Amino acid sequence: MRAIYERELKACFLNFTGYVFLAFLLLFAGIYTYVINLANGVAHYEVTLGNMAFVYIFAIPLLSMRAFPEERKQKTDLLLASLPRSTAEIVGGKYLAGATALLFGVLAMAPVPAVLSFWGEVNFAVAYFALLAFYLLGAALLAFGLLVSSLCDSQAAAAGICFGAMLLLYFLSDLAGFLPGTALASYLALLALAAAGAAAVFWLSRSRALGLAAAGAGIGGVTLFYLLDKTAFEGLLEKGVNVVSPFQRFYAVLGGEADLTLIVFDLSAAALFVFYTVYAVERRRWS
Amino acid sequence: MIEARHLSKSYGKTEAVTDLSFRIGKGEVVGFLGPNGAGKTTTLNMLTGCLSPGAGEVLIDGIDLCLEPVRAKRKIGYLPETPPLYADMTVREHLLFVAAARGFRGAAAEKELIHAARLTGIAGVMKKLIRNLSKGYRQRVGIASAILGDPEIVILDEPTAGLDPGQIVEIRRLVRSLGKEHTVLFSSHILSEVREVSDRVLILSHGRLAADDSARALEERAGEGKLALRVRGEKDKALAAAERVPGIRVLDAEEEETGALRLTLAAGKDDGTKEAIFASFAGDSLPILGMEDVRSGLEEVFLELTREESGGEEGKEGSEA
Repeated sequence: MRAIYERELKACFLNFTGYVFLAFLLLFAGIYTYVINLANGVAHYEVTLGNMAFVYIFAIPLLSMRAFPEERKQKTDLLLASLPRSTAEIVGGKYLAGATALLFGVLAMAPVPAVLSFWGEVNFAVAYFALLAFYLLGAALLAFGLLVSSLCDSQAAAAGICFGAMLLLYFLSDLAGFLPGTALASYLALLALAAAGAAAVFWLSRSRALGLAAAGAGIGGVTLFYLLDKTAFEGLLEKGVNVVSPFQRFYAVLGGEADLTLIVFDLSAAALFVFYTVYAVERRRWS
Repeated sequence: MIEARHLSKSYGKTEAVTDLSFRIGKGEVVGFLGPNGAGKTTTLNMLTGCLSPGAGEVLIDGIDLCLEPVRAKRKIGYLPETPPLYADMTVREHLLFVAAARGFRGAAAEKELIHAARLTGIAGVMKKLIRNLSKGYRQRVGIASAILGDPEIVILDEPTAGLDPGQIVEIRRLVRSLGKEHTVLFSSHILSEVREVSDRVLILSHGRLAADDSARALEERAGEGKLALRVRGEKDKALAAAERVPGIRVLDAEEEETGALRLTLAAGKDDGTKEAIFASFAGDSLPILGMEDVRSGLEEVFLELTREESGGEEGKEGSEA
């Protein structure tokens, strides 16, 4: 994995994407730090980070779009496939290289709370946990971007689809407010989710039996719970959307000290999407 | 060393490769021939683990490529049709990456780099950006990538495609020299190249194996049963002498400028035929100036074996090429 990681990290800065990504991230970090912290005399860096989370909508597609389409364009996907390295190592190396580029940006922002402490009282535990949460949010979104990249043949398509998905994730909790709160609506939404999950199982495994089993288990389980306790389904849709919204979870922990659930959530989401990426790359080899 | 067992691969409803089986032993240099769309690239991609077979299995030195891909791929170096090179890296950086991915670092990587560069003649361009290299040098760097780490098997997909005549000669020489230490499988549609470089030829037609033998044996097989005869004497007398021999049919009779007559005979496989012809012509006082078996060229063999396909459909591979 080390060879792939080193090559990817180098590639990130051999062309413009790594520099544009860092410039973009740090430009907004600078603007927000100036406007919120310096101009208004606020020493809470977590407020700045909360406000600038939206930069990921643009930054993540920029960072992830090259990962696989560029290999296909240069035909180096065949080189990677013929090397004695597993698909997990290839995907893992690419992901860690992107996560490292993101880390460079976050580390460049790390001195800010210390600088702010000269002018006001800074709660370092809160500020640095917010910075960690900001990084983990980016790392989880990056894994999703990598999955999109693995499914696309062109960088433009990967960037466009990833941008759309980031936008949707950013406004997910706002959109959740428009969802109906009745038990039936939640039940139907969960049925649709179970069907989508079963379709994903079928797509990934190419096994009709597994797909049908997943559909049966999902739809059957949801229906059983619905029949047992309908009241538990009231407002469930909105709650559920807020639970899986990475931006909402990020905002929820700002201002507090270390929250293990956020770390587990973001790391799990990253691992899940990296796993899906490995599967998507493998599946292409089998198609 | 390489064993393909009942390999098949389809793209949608198009069968690119169908029930393909062959074995390549250690140290063999094997040419892989076939017209465009015959399934050569698909087969090579399956043999190198870049593409999974729809059915069948590939064994590399007894290791199942699907079950233990990493172990099997350690034994393979592959040059696809388009050399897979990182254009934004220098030749040295690219080769160091490949060496590292093959598990060589530091001094071991340097040693491998020097060996591959010496074999492929790229020592002078190591610091150049790959995007600035000529096609010939890119091809050499691709071959250097394939042989880095000294894999036991080297698979080359059309290594001379698009090169100028001088470069083609050099790459052929390189492939021949690789054959001294490696098992080499290379695809080509240049028949003279295959004849010149390989010990054995696999001809693929319509995704199926149409022939598997040495180039010489294939040529002999195609010409089997034909004799070319040069005699001195009158044409009618010579034709009568030939037709008196049981099992002989005159295919062609042509008078040469020297006055000699050149006959092409369908002679069957009887070992005593040549003696019978000699006796018949001697009986009519027709001196035989020369008698030899007719050997067809590999081109004719190739055309004969792949004829069905000549007007044929272009498969997925054709569009990939």
